[in-house]
Amino acid sequence: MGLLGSDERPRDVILGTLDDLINMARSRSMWPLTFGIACCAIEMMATWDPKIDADRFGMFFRNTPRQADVMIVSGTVNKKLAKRLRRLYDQMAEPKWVISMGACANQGGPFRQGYSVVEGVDKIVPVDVYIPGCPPRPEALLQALLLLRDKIADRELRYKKPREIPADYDVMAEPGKDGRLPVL
Amino acid sequence: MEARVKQERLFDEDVYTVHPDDYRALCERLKAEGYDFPRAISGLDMGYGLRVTLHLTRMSDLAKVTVRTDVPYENPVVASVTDLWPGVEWYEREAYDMLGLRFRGHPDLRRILLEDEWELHPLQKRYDTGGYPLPDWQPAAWPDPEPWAPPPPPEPEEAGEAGEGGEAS
Amino acid sequence: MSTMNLEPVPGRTDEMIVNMGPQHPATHGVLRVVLGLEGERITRAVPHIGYLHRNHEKIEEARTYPMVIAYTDRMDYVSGTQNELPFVLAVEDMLGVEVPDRAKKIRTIFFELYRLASHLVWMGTAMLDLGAISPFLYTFWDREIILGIVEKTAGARMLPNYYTFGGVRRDVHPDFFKDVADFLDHMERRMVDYEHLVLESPVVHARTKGVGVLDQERAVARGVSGPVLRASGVAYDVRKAFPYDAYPDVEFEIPTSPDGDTYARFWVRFQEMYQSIRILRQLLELTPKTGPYKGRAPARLKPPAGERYRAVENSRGELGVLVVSDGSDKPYRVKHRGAAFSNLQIIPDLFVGAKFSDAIAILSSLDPVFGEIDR
Repeated sequence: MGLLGSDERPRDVILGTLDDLINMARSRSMWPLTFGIACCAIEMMATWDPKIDADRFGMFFRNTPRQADVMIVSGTVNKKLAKRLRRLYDQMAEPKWVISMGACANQGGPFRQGYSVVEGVDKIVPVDVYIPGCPPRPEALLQALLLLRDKIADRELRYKKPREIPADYDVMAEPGKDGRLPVL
Repeated sequence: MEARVKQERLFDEDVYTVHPDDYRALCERLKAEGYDFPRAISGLDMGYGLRVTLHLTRMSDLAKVTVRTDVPYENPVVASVTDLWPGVEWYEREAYDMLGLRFRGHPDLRRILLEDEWELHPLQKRYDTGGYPLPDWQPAAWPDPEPWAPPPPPEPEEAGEAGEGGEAS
Repeated sequence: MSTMNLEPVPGRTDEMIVNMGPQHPATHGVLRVVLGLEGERITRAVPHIGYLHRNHEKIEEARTYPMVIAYTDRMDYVSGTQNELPFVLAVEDMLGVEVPDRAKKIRTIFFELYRLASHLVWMGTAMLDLGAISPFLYTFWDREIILGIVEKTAGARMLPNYYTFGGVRRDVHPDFFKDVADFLDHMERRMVDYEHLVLESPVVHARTKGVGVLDQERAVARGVSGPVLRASGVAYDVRKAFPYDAYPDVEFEIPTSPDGDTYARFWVRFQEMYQSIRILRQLLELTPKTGPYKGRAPARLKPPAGERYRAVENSRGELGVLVVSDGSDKPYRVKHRGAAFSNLQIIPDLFVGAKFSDAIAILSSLDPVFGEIDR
């Protein structure tokens, strides 16, 4: 009762903002969405196998985007999938984060410059962590998840926020790559 | 049937190159001969036209056969063989999707890998990898003799090898 | 909606149209199936593929022959080097390259190791679909051992890009043969556990026996191959029918089952794993410890104009490739015949009439991999 009036702080009270507490809680219970796309999805499964065991960090797969916090884009995103990927992202509740796993999700990978491949998933959704590799090792995905954990609980603002992408961004609208024959 | 068909032996397969009008009849004959396992249908852009390549296997004695037919770009229509071998249904859809080959009589000929709204048939040689039209691409002339024309009769001094059909490469 | 391709039947109110995928935990990737449901029974099923179409065949026309091998790896990504082999064999045929005997045997060891790895992934994920978590934990542990062996030699875990024209890219690691022998000892003990966990589980029996029966004639006419075809009683295996690499030198059987149901497909895959172990044991005996690992292939690869179709028996069935060369250093056309692509065509046949929960079991028994289906 007398705490507010007195100058003396009891020793078992930690001062901080409520945001810090909430962010710490969020960073310790990141739930990724079960959305395997391509080769990287097998390594994503291997991250949850008994050898790497990402479960021990409080990360469990959720099958519905409504319950998930993290989307791991594990593979090549093509123009047919892009709309569905964006819809899944929109269905996830705020706050939400995206990990781009592997060369294909980063910039198209070996399939870059092909007619059907989106050259980087960051054209569709804002990406927080990029993982290089084709495919990345499970250890690399685990490091990315731990980096993301730091980023969520970031007090010093060391990490940049990703660029926001409008929900109606149309990958098909890129010049010459819309699958429609140009009028000559 | 006056056969507009060329038969040759490539590696371990019998290869028939046939006029598109006779393609369906030849397939019916092969079906009757017991070729029951459809391996694949491949579409090819030959530069002068589009080619359908049908790969078949006979399960009883493991004989393999390939049927090819060429159609011009302007009218790329081939008879469908889906009713003979239901397993080629998706392959014909894929050839339509990738190359624009149209299969007459196919039950459900629509795009399979790309979305329905696309107009591009990306595996045609007139487009580059990204789907852009190549500026200086011109179709080649239709081959003469035609692909299904039988090879000319062998010269008298080479008559001894003619029975083998030739190890073409 | 035009993209659904499944219109409601006018006047019919008891049918519900349900969309499954492309984000669904049990579709093994990005398959989408639009289902018509009457209560729990499936009345119509329309599969949609292409969500992983990444222009393999177009981009391979713009790459040189050695570069294409790296792309073929990424088709059936669960079974690594198995995808490289048909392309390598076809180009070797066209070039007339001789492969040393030891190189053939090393290739076959890798081929069978990846078959075990692929079937282990199948077992884990199929049991996840049926609601069992623990087999996944065991199978992925064993898969990590295989990938560790591969990584020691080839330098990569999943997509090693290890085969080349005339043999393999580099000699095996000095520990390789001992590692494989140790792994086989371990795997033989583990197979007993897997039998208990999967094949003898009463839940698996209840969910798979008599479900999704595929008869022999329909399987052949639909172009189905691999374990799905052999579970319908057809003893067609490319390893026996058109032997390649070291398969003529080893003894093995083609397990078949006359039942054609989902359980038979589970059972055939199990027997194949035993056969893989048997093949690997023989190859460890037969392979010389030292010797050439690569034949003489021309430095500038320009196969003569022509075409060649070659096929191998990968974990899912007949994986073929048609290579067309115009005499330049890039293939004119590479057409892949995906085993899972053909196998997936029977979805409407098997789904219609089944219960909705059976559809999941049927799908996991087909073991689709979308890198190879969509290419």
